[in-house]
Amino acid sequence: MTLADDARRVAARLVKAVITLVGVAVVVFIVLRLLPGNQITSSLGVNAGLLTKAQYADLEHFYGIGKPLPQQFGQWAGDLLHGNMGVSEQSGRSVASLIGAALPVTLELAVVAMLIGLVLGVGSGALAAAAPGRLADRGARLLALAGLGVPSFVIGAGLVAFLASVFRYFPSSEGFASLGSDPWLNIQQIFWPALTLGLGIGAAILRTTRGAMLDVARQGYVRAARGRGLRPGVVVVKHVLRNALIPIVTMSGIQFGYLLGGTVVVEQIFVLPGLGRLLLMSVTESDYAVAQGVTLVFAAGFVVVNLLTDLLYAVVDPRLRS
Amino acid sequence: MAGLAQTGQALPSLVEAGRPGLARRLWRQPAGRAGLIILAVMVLAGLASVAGLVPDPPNAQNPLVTLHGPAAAHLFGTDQFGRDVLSRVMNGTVLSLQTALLAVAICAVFGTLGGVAAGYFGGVVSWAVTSLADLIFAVPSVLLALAIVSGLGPGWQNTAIAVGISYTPIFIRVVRGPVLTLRQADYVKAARVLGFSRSRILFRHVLPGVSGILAVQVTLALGWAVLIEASLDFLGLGPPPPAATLGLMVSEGTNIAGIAWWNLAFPAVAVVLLVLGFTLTGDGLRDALDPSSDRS
Repeated sequence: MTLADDARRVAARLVKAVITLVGVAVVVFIVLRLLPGNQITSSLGVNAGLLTKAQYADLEHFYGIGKPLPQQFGQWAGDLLHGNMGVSEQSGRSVASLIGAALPVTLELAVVAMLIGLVLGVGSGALAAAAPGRLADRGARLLALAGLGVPSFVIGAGLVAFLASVFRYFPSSEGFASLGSDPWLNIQQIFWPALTLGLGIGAAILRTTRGAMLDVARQGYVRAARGRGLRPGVVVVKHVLRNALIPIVTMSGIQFGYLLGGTVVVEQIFVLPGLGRLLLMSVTESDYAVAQGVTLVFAAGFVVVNLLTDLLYAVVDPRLRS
Repeated sequence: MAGLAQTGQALPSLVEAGRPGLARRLWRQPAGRAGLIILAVMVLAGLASVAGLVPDPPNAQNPLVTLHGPAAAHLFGTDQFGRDVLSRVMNGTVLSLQTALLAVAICAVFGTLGGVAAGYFGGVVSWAVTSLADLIFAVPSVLLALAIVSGLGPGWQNTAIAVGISYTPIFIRVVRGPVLTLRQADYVKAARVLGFSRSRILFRHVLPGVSGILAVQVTLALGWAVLIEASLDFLGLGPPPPAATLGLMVSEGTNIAGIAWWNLAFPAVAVVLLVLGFTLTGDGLRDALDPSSDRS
């Protein structure tokens, strides 16, 4: 009974996620078509004016852009479902292979940043909530404010400048090392950008954790648990934190979206060959196929994380399962 | 984006909560006071720059004083072209503020109209508006702004449009929830029974009810807009190089920070102060409007 209900709920949520993704694909497609210029002008520049009518039509056929928009979209979406995302005009490589090479870098960065944010945020948030108004609490709140007010590009630029001028150190001065080829160098190259992003995420999670835990701590059952003589640490973790998880999960999901946007900035600063840098390059070089593909991958990541966040609620809070 | 989209909370309103002195209550909040002071300093610096009260024109080069450190002649030092960093930071503050104001004007107007329409009319309108908002929301805002600004081309107005569009869904969400509640409020029902026109009900009865939430949201959105605008400039997607934007100055300053830290530090501090000023004021405003947080 409940199992069937669960299955139905998950299925409904999945359908919603797929619909959102299709909608995003349409929006991405339209936005990029609305931009002035096309593949021909972007690859040939002003020389595109020298093309004869027949040459132009041939090129239009080659890029698949001569047809009406709905037909173009059908073509693009059909290819997409077959894993064909088109070819980059700048590098001549397939978009799928470019994304395949960049995705692991960004995934690693995002996961490490999220972990740093969660550890910093939940840890110091719990510390702050344990003794509101005390020194630890004030310190944590001040840090949270700094983390929220200082943009990631300022933290990143400051870190690079600091490491370079004091330690003569820049982890990405050598080429990017994958986790498999040179784990130690890889960890160094990922750690600093992940820290840059993690500080901002941690600040937001800290504020949410602190607020949620203070709310829960006022509840009767927490006082009852203290009254029963349970150790303060046990009360904080098992009674307070456990029941404050819902807002923390929500905020973490929201922060993941911020994280995806942040990778563009941070990968640029720390010269990481990830999706964010790929997107920025494709956008500045008007490489439509790549920009389209990467934006879609980012949006898909965001939709999947929202889906996971929703499903996590039921795991975190048994009351939501009925 | 932290905690911006809070719906379903009590409905603080400028109209009722404001009578005993909203400004005074904002001032009494430590966060609100700090935010207001920071903003006042930054806005004054910006106004001085607009009025021409700067040590040098922001793009005036002087090859005799390249990369001089902070001193009496140049309080914030000079950059690699001998341009006065203080003048450029003040000019960048104006650029940031005007971009943020235009961006927030865009998202506040469209987001509020959309949110009010979705909440008040319900049905197809609500469905259309919220699904559009969800779609925009599914693309991370920095990425959306990046795509839009690359399409429109560089320039502060285009940055503002991009930032405004990407923030609109948040206004829709924040406004729609309270309007759903307000629609059932007795005084709105009474206005309907009295036969007031739809626009009169919306603008005279419903909109004032969400004014408090809107004020908080506008303030927070300004901070967010400064942040995204500076990030886009930093990535090279804002106005092109001679322009004295704070993001561009941080980007250029990073490369020479080892020999001239002031080129990185001062524009970075200016960005941080702007973002913090709006965030603190927004937080303070929220607390000042919230009757339940009336701690003495």
